[in-house]
Amino acid sequence: MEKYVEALDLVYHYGDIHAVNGISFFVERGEILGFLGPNGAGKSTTIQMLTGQLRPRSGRAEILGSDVWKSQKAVKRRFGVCFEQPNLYEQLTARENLVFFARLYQISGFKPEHFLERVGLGDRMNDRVAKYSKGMKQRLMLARALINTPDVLFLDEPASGLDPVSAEALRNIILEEKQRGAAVVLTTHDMVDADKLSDRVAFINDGKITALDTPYNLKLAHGQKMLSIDLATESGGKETIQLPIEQPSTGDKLRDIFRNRKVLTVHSKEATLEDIFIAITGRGLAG
Amino acid sequence: MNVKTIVTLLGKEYTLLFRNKVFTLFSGALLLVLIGLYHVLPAEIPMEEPAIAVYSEVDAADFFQAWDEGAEAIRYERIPSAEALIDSVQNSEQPAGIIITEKVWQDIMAGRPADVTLYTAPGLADEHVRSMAFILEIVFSEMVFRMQGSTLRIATEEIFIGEDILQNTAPFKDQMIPLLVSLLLVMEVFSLGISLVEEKESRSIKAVLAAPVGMGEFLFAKNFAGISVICGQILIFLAAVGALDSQFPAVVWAILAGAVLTTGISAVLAAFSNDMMSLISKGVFVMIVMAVPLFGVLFPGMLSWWMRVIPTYMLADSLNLLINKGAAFGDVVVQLGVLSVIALAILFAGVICIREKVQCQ
Repeated sequence: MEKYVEALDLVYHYGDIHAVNGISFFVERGEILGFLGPNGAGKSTTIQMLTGQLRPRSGRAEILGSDVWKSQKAVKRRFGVCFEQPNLYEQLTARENLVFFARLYQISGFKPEHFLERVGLGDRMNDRVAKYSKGMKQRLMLARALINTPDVLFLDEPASGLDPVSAEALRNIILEEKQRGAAVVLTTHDMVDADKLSDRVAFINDGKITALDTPYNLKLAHGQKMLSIDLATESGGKETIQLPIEQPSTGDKLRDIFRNRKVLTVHSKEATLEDIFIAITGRGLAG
Repeated sequence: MNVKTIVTLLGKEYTLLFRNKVFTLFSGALLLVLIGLYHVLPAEIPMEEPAIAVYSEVDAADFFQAWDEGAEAIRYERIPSAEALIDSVQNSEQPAGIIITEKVWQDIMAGRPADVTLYTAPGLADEHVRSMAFILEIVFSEMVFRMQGSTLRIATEEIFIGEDILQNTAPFKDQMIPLLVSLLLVMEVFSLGISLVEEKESRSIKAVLAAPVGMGEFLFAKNFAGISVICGQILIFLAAVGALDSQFPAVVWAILAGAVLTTGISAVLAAFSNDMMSLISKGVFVMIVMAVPLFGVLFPGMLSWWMRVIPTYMLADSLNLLINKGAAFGDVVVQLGVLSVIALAILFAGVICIREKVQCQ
């Protein structure tokens, strides 16, 4: 097991507000960790400590075994960050943005075209970023995060502002990076993305990790598989009832329904990560 | 600090600065306006000889001959009538005038105290009126003695302790150079501050700091770019007005200290401003405070003690002494030293403020 990212009892507070209160986790080589939590839960502060932007008040952040704060420059060469808010140089072209950052990483023989084509911006590489849409900026930021072929990728809401086709392309790039062996820390509100992409997910609430496991195990431990049945009513309307699949009485109830009522549709329904988050923390992810 | 990183950051800074239309137009236009302004200002050395209008009711040829020969302290212009004299003074064509009446003439000739009325133009400063009256008393005494075949046995000698740098009176346009240079510096607070605020507002600073770049390298490049642009502008201005000949190293030191001061102030302002409007609102106040003492260099009479402690005064005064008064390096070294220390302290404060604010973003 190769730990590429490790948070060891991280603590950070802004004055009296405890943003991060003793968080510990790790991400292995070739693993995607979904980092889920509502706004203000402490996700961004944790990522800032892991990327050397904030010094932990206590605890340690490590990338590939090196202390992030103490060996900032060496560590920064090994990871890439895609921020939630666009933070590009808008008066430079997409090409110039990538070349500038490649020079900061001192990458020799850098070919910006390769990265821009990978995120679908090959034909707009000489346009100034100020002319880009939010989705295009998001894609350019992803390209920027990849220029140093990072061992660790921090992605903060990478699909934000993307159309469905671009979002799918982005998911493929993330999976390609995982295949290459990169460890990915994926911060997102999108439960579908988190579920599809993450090998494990961490729920963070009030500065603490409240659950950390694979989506499957979390659903197994905290969710219930349900049957959702739409029935026709006498007045011509529709009524929906839900039955837990794993209860012994469900079979008999189902038989009665089919015998006595007009059934419109039957669906099996798994608990979503959001349902589980609510079950564990008592609050929704949107808050 | 990594040289390659700093060179890369500087390349980005210069590209962004010159792609910023506001900065480029503002800086270029300001430079052209100041160079143009210099060339249209008066090139003559202002001669402030006191003058007085005189009408005499009597033939006082001896008196005026004695005045021509002996009294250089004040020149006179003879007016043909009392009415013309009153009119010319009232219309401010002459600052002051006297009428030598028959009685005045008789008193002078008899050696009696003579009452001479001094007519002064509206708005003439009180100290001018008093000094003119004082000079006239001396002139009249001198005239009387000369007409009697003797002269006053009073001789004054001026001894300057050190070099008389005020002797090198400069034309008005040259006197304006330190003021214009300092104004150029003060105005650059805005364009540099805006560049920093944009970096903060767009959060691009976060992306740079997530790359292998230290905060020190980032701020060094930012400040170096700002300082070099300001220094470049001022050197172009000084070269265009031909003011680079005197004490070049000291002039460059003064400009460099001024550029550091400007960069530091813009960094402090940018740290506490969330957007361009917020920066401008704070910047206007700072600009007024910085600009007030500059006029004191041109009009020393209006200088108060508090103006002398504002760093821009030290800058403008040093430049004035070096460019217009022929001062040597040693004459300004203390003032420039103090200015440099203050400028570096403000720059340091600016760097700390930016660092703290970016971390809290």
